[in-house]
Amino acid sequence: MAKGVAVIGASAGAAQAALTLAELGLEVKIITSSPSLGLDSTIDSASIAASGKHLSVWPLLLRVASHPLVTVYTNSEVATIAGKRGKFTIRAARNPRYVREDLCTGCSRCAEACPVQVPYLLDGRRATRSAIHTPSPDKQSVPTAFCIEKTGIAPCRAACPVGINVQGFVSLLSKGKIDEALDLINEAAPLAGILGRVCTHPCQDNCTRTEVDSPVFTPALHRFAADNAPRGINYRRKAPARSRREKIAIVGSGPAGLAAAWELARRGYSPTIFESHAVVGGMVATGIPRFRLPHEVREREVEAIKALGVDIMTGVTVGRDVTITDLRERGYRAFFLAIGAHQNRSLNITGEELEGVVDAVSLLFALNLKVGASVGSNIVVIGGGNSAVDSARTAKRRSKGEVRILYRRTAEEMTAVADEVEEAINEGVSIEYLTQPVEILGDGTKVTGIRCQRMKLGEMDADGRRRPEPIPGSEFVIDADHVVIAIGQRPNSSVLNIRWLEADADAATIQADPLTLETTIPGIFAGGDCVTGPNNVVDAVAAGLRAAESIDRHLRGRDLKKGRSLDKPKPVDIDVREREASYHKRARMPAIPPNRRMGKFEEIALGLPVEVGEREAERCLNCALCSECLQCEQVCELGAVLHKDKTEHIDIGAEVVIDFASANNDRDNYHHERSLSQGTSPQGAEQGIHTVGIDENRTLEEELALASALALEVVAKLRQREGVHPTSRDITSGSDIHLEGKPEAAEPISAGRARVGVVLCRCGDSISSVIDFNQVTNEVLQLPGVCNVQEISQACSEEGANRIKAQATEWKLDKVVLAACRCCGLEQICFSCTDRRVMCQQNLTNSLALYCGENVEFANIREQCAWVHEDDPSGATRKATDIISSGVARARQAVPAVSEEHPVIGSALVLGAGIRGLSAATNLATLDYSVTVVSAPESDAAKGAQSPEHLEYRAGLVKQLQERGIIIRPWPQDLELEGSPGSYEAVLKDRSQTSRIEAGTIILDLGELCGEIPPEAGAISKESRLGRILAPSIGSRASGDAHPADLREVAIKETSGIFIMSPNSEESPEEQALKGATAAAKASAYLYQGTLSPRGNAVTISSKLCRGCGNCAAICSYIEMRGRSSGIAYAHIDPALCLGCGACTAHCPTGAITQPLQSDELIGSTLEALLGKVACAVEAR
Amino acid sequence: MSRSAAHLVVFACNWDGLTCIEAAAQAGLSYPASVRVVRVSCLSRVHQGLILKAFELGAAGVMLLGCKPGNCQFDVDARYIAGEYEKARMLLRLLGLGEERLVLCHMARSDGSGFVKQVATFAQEIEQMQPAVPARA
Repeated sequence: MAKGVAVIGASAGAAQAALTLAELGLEVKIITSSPSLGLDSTIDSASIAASGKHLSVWPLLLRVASHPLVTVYTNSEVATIAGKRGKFTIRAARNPRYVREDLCTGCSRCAEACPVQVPYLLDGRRATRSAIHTPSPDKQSVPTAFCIEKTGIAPCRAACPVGINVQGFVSLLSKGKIDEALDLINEAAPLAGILGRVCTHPCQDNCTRTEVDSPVFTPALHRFAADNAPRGINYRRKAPARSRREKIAIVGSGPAGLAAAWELARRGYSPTIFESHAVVGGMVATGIPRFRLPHEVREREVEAIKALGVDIMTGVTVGRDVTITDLRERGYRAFFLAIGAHQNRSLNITGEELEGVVDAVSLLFALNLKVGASVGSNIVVIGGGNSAVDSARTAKRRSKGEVRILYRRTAEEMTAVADEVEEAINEGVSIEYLTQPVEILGDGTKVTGIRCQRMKLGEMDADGRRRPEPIPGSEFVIDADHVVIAIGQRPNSSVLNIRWLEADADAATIQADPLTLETTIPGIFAGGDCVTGPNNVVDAVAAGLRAAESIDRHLRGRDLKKGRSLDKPKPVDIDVREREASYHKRARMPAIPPNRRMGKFEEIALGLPVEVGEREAERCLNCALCSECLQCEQVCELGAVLHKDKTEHIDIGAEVVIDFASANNDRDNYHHERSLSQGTSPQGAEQGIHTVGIDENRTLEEELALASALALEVVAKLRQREGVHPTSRDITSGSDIHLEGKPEAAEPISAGRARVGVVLCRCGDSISSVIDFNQVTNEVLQLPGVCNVQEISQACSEEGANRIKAQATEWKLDKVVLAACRCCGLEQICFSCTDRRVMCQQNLTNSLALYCGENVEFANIREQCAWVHEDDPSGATRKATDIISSGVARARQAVPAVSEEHPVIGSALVLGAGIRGLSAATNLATLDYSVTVVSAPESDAAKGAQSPEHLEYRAGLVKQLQERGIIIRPWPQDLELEGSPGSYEAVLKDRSQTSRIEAGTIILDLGELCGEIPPEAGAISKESRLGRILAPSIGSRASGDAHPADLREVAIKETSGIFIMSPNSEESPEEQALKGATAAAKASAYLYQGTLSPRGNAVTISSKLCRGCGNCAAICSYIEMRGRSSGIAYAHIDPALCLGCGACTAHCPTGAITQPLQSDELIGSTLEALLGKVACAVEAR
Repeated sequence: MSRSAAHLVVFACNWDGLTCIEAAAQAGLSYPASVRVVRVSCLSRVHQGLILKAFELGAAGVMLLGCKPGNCQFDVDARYIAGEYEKARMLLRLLGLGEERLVLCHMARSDGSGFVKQVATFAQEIEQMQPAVPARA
């Protein structure tokens, strides 16, 4: 519904406009693309940062964000504004923050756990912070909630066929979190020890660091995680109970079969693997030499998978020993064929049948797994793939003679991994390129040699490689006593003996849907080398995982294809110049030197040493920023981290839009209403959208003035349109929680008798991880008056407040001491407050239905204890006990003053009729407040100082006021101010008559009153009440804007109702009018409250104890000395005027002045407790 | 349990003084747990009596932590605390406790590291002095 006002932007100006609107009773929606308020790149944030004033606006931001009528939409990009005045719909895209604003308390445990450091600019300097961090560089922000910086998916991760979060595990390794790294790898895929050794590592091929120097050594790190994780592999940790009863048969225990079994087990199934060999692992066991992949590594993985409840039947050949039909009869409902490609292709030349001619699969199997297998002394391997190279290297280890590889193309076309080829050469294997065997020669039984011919490369063939062509007449003969044919393998699916199973006629591969891996027979799936032909391990694992998903869907009767795709995720684009790159060079894999490898089958690559591994991991550029290692999610006790957060589209209704975000350099354009008409065009002429442009020269004060004046204008127009003119909020409706919660004449508790309950806030474990809550509880329970101690996870949430309420009810508590992060129960918002603390108080006020400041005592054990004593837990625990004990002491003693509510009259008195005063009067009149203007005595000096423009502008305002029937009264002979804030009475005395004007607020145009030029020549007597109040304002005129007075009022909450506009002769008429409007905005917000109560820490002065020394009156201009009939004066203050600084209290010689919430006695007992005296006494008892 | 740690009392002004203590925590800094913070509305609320009270209760040192000139929320600055500080120093001298057990710090807003540095140095200096109060039965 279109209600209220939408304020777009997060600048201090936007916040000021929103606060003014809300204080005048309008619903406000702040929409900002930034994650917190005060961060927009508009004028003020830069100037605020430059002047170090950002903390001045902090209370303003907090007041806005916590105002019940204000909703803040962060991370929200406005797309379109549709509709017209009175009925706008703002469509925005809410970008993910990945952290829930309602839950996050900013305890920063996530940031401590985050392994990724991302660069950012801090005051123009390059700095780094965790990928999960507070929105603003200086940690404070509104809202407090952290946010995560993500840019997408890192290229390494996008390239991984099994979807391993490569960046994630690398970042964890960089912080020495090896167990966590292995867990993260195993989130996506099993077999880390195997893949870490033999994967073709597309991750490394896609590494961005290549642009800097050389890629991160991801394969070595993958292995590093698998080999070094202290906890080892344990797939059971995250596996669910075996919940699914459907029987599944997997044929083949290679990487595809094992991966499928693993994934199915993780989904609750207990699959059975049938393996024809005695050894488990398929080609991984039989085809990969032990010096590349030791048996122990494979066996470890197999055992871990078995431990998941996977049954592996070895020595069973499906199709021969048992058929699929048999298995169906035994209740198997789904099948995964992963039989690999073990049948050798032959050369189809003569002599292949000779003794001494073997195929690569048999050779590797024999040398890998059989004892006593021997080789010849002149070995020739034919082929250029991995099995050729592996065969040659394996044979070389057993042979004292020569080992040669014949390959018909060049080194470039070899399909074997380049590193392995290099190692083979290092080990003494020679390679004859562009050489093709024509005939294998023999002596009738045994092989003796090979007749070969030389080749040259011709045209490209179908697979993109240049076709080798024989060079005529180049034939020659080489000797050989052992020939290994390694030109590729093909599956042998016929052995399966399955009717209707279709296979490719040429390649013999089983036909399966590329996405679902379902064969032509429903319920039978196939994957790995038997579908693709000989391929690498990682693709086989990927197929196994995909098959498992299909089988799960099949068994649950779900669509096999829905929501699945073979598309790889799109990797993020990175500008490497924006990244911090560690200066380390790529690590080298330590290896056994080639001359010590012969005759042995030990693993050559030794693995990275721990410190080298960590340093190598640090080389990662963290392409995607957040690595999604999920450490933050695991560490957050409050469940506030939400990695799955997505962009949402939201529609926000509003009657009027104020846009602080759009760039526009026209300084005065806030008067001009511009519209983005019906959606997108910024040039529309519809009314109702106010744009405040950017002006780098505008000061913070000017920005705030502009914003509040604009807000006032919006309110006036809205009310005019609706024809309603509320001058104060509807007090009876109870929309304001602060009033609703007033206690109903609660029985006064005499000091020292209160039943006190203590609440300990764990703050998502950020407090309780340092402070021993058990010990604190035991000790606090000993304190006098404490009847109950409760521990809660998060006091600032609504749930926390409700639990505290339940505790208070159950134990019939009079007072609660909350040990958390809040420091006081006052209304003020100081620079170190946070939105969670404000929220905490609001929730407590709501749930306890009592005034918090009086019934809840706060003790800060977070910033003042746990967070600064992490290195000393026992000291922190003792200190926490003392801090809480001081809170208990205060709670038992404090008897708050009965705070009275004063009504605020809906009228204003403007003293001084310069442009500022008249503008204020006009603006207030527009809002239907009754206004009286008293003009200062006309002085020639003042008149002479006015330029013609000023005079003309002023005349215009006078005319406007006259039209509204407001007359400007002349200055009386004497003007006295009586009454109290909210209901002042000005007594205007002239020779002939005395008139009294009642006013809720008083606005002073000092420029007119004191003259623009000589500030001394005032119309108000310095001795009068008004004169004394004005004195500091007049005195400090020259002192500049060290802290804007307006912002101070926001922090401590204005109660006096007196608004002073200072003179500045350099201001243009328009600037002066703006000042007037700003004062009117503040005054109307003050009037709109309807009632007023003094602030909690206001002083009271006992006239009985006062001996009239006047010390206090010299300190505070709000204190006045009054006469007594006895002739001895006494000091008096209106509590509503007191700012609560306490200076007068400290300097009262008789103790007549007290601050109930900050008396000497309370400070004394706080000291006593903090210095351990209370706990000491309790212990001694 | 022993409570022998030489406690330091920091009277911190609720405004800029407290921002330093907050900033120290936000920045993850640390200082001795013997430092105990008493929040007051403004340093001008503190008088010599309260300072002496802290010593009477066994504090080994007292730090008055307030804002830089011109930053006072109440435009009071050090107008009143400076005098109280001088008077209390005189009394500490008279009582034989040593005037160096009391320090007055005016710190910039949110100067967490500055605060930690000051308070840690102060704690160290105090530790090197003789016990503040001779052990009384």
